[in-house]
Amino acid sequence: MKIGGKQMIDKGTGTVYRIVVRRELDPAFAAAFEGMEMETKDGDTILTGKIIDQPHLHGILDRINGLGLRLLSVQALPDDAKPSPTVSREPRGPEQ
Amino acid sequence: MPRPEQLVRRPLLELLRNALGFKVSVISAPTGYGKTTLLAHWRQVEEAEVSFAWVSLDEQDNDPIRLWRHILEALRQVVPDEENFGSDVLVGMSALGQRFVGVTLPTLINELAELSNRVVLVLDDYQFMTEEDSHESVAFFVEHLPENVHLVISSRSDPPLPLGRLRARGEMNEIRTEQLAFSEEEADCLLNEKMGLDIGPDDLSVLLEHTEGWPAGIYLASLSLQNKEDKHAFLESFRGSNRYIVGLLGEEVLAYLPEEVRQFLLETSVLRAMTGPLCDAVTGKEGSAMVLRELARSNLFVVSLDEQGEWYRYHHLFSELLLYELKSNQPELVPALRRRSSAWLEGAGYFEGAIRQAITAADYERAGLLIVRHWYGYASAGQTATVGRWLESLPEETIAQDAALCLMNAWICALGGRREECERFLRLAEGIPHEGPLPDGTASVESGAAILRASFGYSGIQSTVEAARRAAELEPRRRSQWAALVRFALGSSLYLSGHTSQAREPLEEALSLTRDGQRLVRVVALSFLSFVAADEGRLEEAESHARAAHALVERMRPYGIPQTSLAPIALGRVLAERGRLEEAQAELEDALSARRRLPGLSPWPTLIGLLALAPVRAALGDRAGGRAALAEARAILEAYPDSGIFPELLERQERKLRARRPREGKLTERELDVLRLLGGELSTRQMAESLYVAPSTVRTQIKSIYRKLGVSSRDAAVEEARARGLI
Repeated sequence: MKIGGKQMIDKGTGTVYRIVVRRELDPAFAAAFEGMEMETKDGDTILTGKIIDQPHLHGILDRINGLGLRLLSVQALPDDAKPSPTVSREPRGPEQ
Repeated sequence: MPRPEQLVRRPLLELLRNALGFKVSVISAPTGYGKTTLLAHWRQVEEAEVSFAWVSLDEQDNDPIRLWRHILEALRQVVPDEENFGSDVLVGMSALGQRFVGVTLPTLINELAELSNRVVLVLDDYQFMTEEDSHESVAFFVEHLPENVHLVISSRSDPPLPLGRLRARGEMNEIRTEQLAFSEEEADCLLNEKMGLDIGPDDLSVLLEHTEGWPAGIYLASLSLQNKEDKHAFLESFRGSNRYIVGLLGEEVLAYLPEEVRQFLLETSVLRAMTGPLCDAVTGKEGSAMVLRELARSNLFVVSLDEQGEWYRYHHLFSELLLYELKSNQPELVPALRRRSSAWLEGAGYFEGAIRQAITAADYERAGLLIVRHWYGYASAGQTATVGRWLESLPEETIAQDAALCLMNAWICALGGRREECERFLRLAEGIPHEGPLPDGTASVESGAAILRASFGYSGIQSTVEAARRAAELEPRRRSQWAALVRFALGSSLYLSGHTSQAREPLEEALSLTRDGQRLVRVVALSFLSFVAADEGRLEEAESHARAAHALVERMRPYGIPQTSLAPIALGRVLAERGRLEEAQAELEDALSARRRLPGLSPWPTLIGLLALAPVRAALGDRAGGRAALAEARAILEAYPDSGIFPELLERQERKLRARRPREGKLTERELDVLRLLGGELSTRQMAESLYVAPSTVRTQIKSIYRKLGVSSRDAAVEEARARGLI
């Protein structure tokens, strides 16, 4: 029964998910996906991080939808997987 | 008037118009595809002939009751007789599930069908609906849609309604992402005709390919292009680029804005809705009202929320981006911005908004303070669910360290029938050292705890009376917002302990002290006054109080507060006394079944209800049912040793309804003759005369009749005989 007052997030539990969206997101968007690592690769953006539960996951998916991003894949990774380190970014600028 | 940059998309408007013959139009596409704009244009085009009722949904509406209230309000704007339209429906918005779908909705549907005008009902941003109950109600509505109504659902995700079936039956019109994407002609129209940018076809197709026709992306690009000398080079850079176009916003569009405007946009991005004075408070500058008006005029990303032009919001996509930009570049500003907005919102009376800002900012101390300051008004109007939601957004530690929050939580638990949690929070509250009054007006923790204990009576009747007396001592001020409740607690506990006549004055005082918003206190005070009057034999007065309570409850139905079940119990009791048994049974059974769903409620009203119901069931021929009600009451009493008048009341009823011994032999013909006469007015002697036998014979026969029927009085014999169909 719900008691009222949320539990502080226990980083020990949860599954690591790997979510891929199309297009490369600027670092500013990391703020949209708190708690997730963000890296760009081959024209896509990969979000990896520990997801506490299904509502948490759907919140992230809603956010992706809310940004008009195209969702390419959602994968639950095996327990021993770790989020990959952030790849070094190219300098910002429309001129590539 | 459509704004110049807003393309009027004729083929789509045609599609919509032709679909008016269908039941439903579903517009399904991600954000930034111009769904709302398209529908707004359609409305402008059709409004002469068809009435448009518009509902813009947000996360707060994710609850079938709120959803349908919105829909009703929107419909009322477009019907001729707006005063009366849907008034029965509002009243019927009580129980969810079957009763809502089976009883309340059909009423609304019938009222709609009777309208002479055609109506288009638009549900915009339907993706915020996630409750199964909401979808169920909408699906039912669609299934039984009247001929003159067309429903439009606009959403970022396909609504979980039986779309397949609607499609198969040709009852649905769909406009999806593909159709909403800009074509080459449309991109050309926007960039060249509307914005005068003079972009050639090759460059145009690079842009189109990169954005895949996403209108928001194209619009953004057009804004950037306005500031570019070398438009070709800019568009050429899109070729083969994988960059998320919206990321351009930070550099391109924002960079070219005057500094003050840019800063204004960034700082106000923390707000869900904006108005001049609020933005002034948040930015610390003046003149925001004019900035907003100008932005709304020159920019598609600022949406006006009202006709007076006072409230605005950013297009969802825009505000998300601004916020991320702000968080990335000036994160240190965010807490201050939210604090300022929370302060202004509270001052302007938007308590929910103020609390939300504090919670979003993770400023739990402030959020807690705000919640405690304002919760009582919401709860006594019946909006306990809202208060519960606020509490759920606070971390447990914040609550556990604050006496006022613990006490308030105890109240919410009690109101929700969660007895054990209530007691847990009460103990917590009493264990936290706190001096003096609490932000919700309670004189002290001790005072608040006494009022709570006195109101719910969880610890037994004598303790409740003591708590009520203590509460009255600790909170004597008539002007306190708790004054009415304190008086009520005194009155109700006196009643429950058997001091009916003493209960009257405090209950009447409670009524006179209830301010306009304290509906719940009025309901319970009126109900107990009704009990008092009924006990005193003043049935007319009792009925009048009970009906007054009932009327208040009707208005509070949508909130589903268990304590409102006191009104039907009071009414049922009076009706029973006045012999209107079926009506009485209906009220009592309803109230009790609602109370059974929450075993942690205060037992005393339930007991009153059961003790009223038992004789009603028996009198209607269901003696076994009567005994069952008494058994329920007995089971409850077992958990409450300190139970005032109830044991005696219960025993009295149990005696009346005692199970009869099984038939000891059939009645003889002569005994039946006597039995028939027993139902009349004759004395034993007169009976003997009419039967041509000696009185002693009749007396013996009567004894035998009593024995065989298992009764011990003439009345009981007659009743039993009738019950068995013997006479």
